[in-house]
Amino acid sequence: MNTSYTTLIIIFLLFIFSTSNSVAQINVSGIVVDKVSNESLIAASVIVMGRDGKIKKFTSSNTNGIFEMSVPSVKGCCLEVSMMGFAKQSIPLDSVSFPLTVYLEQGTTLLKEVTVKADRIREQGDTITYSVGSFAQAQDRSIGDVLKRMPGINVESSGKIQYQGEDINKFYIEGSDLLGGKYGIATNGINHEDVGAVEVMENHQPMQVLSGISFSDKAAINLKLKNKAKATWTFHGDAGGGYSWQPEGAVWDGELFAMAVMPGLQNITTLKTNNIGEDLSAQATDFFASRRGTDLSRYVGVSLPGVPNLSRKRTLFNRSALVSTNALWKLGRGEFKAQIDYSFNRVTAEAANVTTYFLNDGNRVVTENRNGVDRSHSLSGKLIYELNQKTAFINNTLKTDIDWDDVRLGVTGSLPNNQTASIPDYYVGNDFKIIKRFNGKHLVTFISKNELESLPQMLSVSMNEAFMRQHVKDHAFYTNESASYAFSVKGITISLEGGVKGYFHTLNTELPDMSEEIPGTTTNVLNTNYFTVYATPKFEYWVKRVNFSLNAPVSFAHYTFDKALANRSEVYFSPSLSLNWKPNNRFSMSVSGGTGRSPMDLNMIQPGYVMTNYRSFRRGVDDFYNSSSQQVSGRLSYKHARRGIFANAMVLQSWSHNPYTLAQQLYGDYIVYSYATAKSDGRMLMASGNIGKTLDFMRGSANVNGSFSSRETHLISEQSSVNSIGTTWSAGVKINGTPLRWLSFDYRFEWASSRLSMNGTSASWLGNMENKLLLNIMPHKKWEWHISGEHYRNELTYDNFKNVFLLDTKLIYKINKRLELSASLSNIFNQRTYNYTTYNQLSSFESQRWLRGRELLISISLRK
Amino acid sequence: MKKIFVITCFLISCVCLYAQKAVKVEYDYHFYTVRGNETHRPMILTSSPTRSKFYNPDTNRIDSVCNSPEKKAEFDAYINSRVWSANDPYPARWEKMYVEKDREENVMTSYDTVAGEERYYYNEPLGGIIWEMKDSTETILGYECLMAECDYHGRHWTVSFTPELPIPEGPWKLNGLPGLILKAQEDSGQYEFTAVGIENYEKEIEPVYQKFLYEKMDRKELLQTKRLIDENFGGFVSVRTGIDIPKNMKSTEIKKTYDYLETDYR
Repeated sequence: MNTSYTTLIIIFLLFIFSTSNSVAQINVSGIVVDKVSNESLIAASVIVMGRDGKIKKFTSSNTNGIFEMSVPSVKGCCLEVSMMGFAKQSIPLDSVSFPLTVYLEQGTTLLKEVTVKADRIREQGDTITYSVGSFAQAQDRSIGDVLKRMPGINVESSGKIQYQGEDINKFYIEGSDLLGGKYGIATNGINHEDVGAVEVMENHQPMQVLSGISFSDKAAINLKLKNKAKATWTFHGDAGGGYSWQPEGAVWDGELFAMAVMPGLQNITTLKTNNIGEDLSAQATDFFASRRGTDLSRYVGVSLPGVPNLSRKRTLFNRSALVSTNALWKLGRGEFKAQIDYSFNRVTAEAANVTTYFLNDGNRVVTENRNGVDRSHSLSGKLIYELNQKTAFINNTLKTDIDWDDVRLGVTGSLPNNQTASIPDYYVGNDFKIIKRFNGKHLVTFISKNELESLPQMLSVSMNEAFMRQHVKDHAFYTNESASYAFSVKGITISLEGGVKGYFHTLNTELPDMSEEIPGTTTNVLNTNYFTVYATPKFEYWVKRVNFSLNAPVSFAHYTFDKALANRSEVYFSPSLSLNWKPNNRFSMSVSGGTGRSPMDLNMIQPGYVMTNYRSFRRGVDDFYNSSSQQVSGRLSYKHARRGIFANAMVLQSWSHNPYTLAQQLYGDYIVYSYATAKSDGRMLMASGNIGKTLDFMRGSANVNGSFSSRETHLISEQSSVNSIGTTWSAGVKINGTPLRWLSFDYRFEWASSRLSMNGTSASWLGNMENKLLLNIMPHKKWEWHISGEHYRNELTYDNFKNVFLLDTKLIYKINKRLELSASLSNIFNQRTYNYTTYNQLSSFESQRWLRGRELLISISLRK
Repeated sequence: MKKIFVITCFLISCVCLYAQKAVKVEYDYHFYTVRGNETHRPMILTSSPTRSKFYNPDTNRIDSVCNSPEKKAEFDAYINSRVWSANDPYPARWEKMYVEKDREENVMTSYDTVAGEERYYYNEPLGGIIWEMKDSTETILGYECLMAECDYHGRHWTVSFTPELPIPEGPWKLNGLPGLILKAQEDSGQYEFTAVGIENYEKEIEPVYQKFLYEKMDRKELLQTKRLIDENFGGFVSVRTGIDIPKNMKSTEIKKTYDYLETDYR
């Protein structure tokens, strides 16, 4: 009985115990710890996952890394602990005891990035701000590489920037105009990682004194630097060396770039050199340079043979160097700028042509091998003082450009000859401008411009034991002094500018021993001078969203020719009208038109022959003429910054009427260009359009553009009149993006087709196509691998295509944020020549040009 | 060619990912205004393991500019220099709310602006939302999301969150799930947040600018004040400025269905 009683009690207690166990909760608790640092982790996600894969309970770790939750049962359950930046831990809960210590290892949360576009492009009134980080791809180096991807912004191959199809009028760095028109140095040099944002200021009036008075339809760009790049010097440099299969030998590529952006001082200094086909002279081009008043142009023109329709980098055999230093000091309320550039370029080129004439008595073969070297040095300096305030503007610019250019071109084969040319250019000028604003409404301006240029030229040709030497001495001085007054009331601005211009030009040319086949004199001794008094009334009406402006310049000019020609006095009037309408911030349109009469280019007054190269001679006119022209243009632009859409379209039509016509005549092997007194009319029509859109889903952008142009000119060839119309269509697509975390790409397609019609007979359309694809694979944050291919399909004659495919690759290893190593192999297939043959019924033409061969370059890059 | 392929495969196979702890998420905030106009505004959530900030990028930008006296003067001059219109509205703090969450202190701070320039804030303890899991799933921005529901301060919310991103965060005040909330819908359809972008965030999470301008107030009291002013804006302006507002301009007609994100203040 006792035993059975005890047994009953035990059974009862067991029952009670098991019942209570079935309703008791299990306390799942523990601590989450970083395996490496052994520190507790806050806000880790902790989930009890049931056998069915469903969440049974969840919590997150607290400030001390501790988590705690109760579940009725943990049978078959798993504890999943995860956190951004750490690998997920999964612990079966069947046989563990609590509290648990969960160690998380760093590393595997992969984000499927979809760009946050709220901050990609921002719009505030007239300023559009592009976030650089959201457009940059891993393969980009300079800010210019990133600008190319921003919809609405176009960077030409020269480095020139356009916004909505129009050239920009200023390029600022942190609000200061350090480089003027030579902003290519900044776009090619500044590392995009130093720039936070690019601001585009639409309708930018660079002179504050004119704000609200004079309308500007141009935009300016301002680079907003990141804080780390401000108030300090930043440096970066590359040094690379390697081997090239053609031209055989060593290759190098080096760059040193230093920049300081401080409150009182800005400086950009760069030093570059290479022989890998990178043309550096273009990088120091002044994109804002206006036409020189001295207006001299070279008579002698010996140019090296080029390779048609291939990228310059593939065909340029060069040794180049560029040194540029630019400084800006803030002096009180004004600023002082000094810019010095020196560039050296040595270019060699070769070409071989074989022409076979199919004749009845056997074939006649004419061969020609051309081999040339062009050495050019260019030194330029600018000293600028500028005060830019709301009531006053002062600018004085003292500038000089000195160029030396020596060209040697040898031709062997059926017509052997040797040409050497020396064409230096010396130029110095000073521009002074002062504008003062009184009572907010009245403006007074004084402008003084003085320029002096000397362009001596020498060409020597030796051919068939004959020797010819052309000398040209060409000097000019130009001065322009003007004053203007403007007043503005209720959006209406009326201004009158008056001034005088003076021009003194002497030309002496001499060509002894000219071929007797060509009739005429071979010396020119000319003084062409003029004195002009001019007045430019301007009416501008600017109300809210409409700007209307009428310009009506009128001038009286007196020309003297030192008895070579009769003196002349002329009156010119060339009014122009423009209307700009911007109904809202997204859309704007403008139309403009002008007509007028203008004097001819005075360089054309040249009655004696000048030899321009071994085969051609040029003679100008022996009288003074005027020409007239008309033009109309229209432009539309649309943008929706939030959606990242930018579009623009323009059309331009112009007509010109000259009382003289260019004539081309063959005398034996020579071509002679001269002018005949016959009227010639020209006509030009151009239209272009462009649409850009951000592709936020892959952090990229796309751009489609198209253009059409038709140019009608008139000339006399072999004493018969020729009316020629050149028509060109072109279209292009650019697309880039980062579709996967480890892959980004850049694709570009361009197509152009052109046709020449003469006297109503049209030649066939000839098309060129170019495809370029760059893939950048980033397997790891320290590694990048670029593979790029270029395909060209050039139509030589109707339905006869020349295909070229070039493949490059580059491997980059980033040791740390400041140091990277790279190895590149370009033209992997080592394509060395660009050969083609064209046929017609009577002859065949075989041409051979040289490409840069396979090239291996190992580089090291360093940045501070 | 074969070699290139082998090298490519090798490089792709050694994909190694590195730690990223903070994220930036853009939400489309879809709601109906007091007058019933449908509106979309971008909102940003920046979140690190310890802190997060939820804000409208335009408001944040203006507040950051106004934080420096020099930039503020520049900004004011800019605002005054132009003619603004409905097509080209001037940059303003259209969406004024900020929500900061501090996991170390376990506190959530909400900032709001009443009637233009009266700024207030209040604190609430973090957590406390009771979530109920649902069986449905959906994919947002390429992430597999699970659904959950809750009742919060007077409204019923249905949200989609992704355990693939183990961040206990979400738009506005919503938080506490084992994954980032990518979508949140309130039952009446008046308010909705949908993630439209997500990326790594490498910068420090900035605090709310010009905190000194905000005064502390009780949450319900703040909402009641807002309601009072919304219902009689003209009267408020009259009292504030002494200008007599014409009777027909005194009150904004509030749609009957309209209420704030939180409705438990009445």
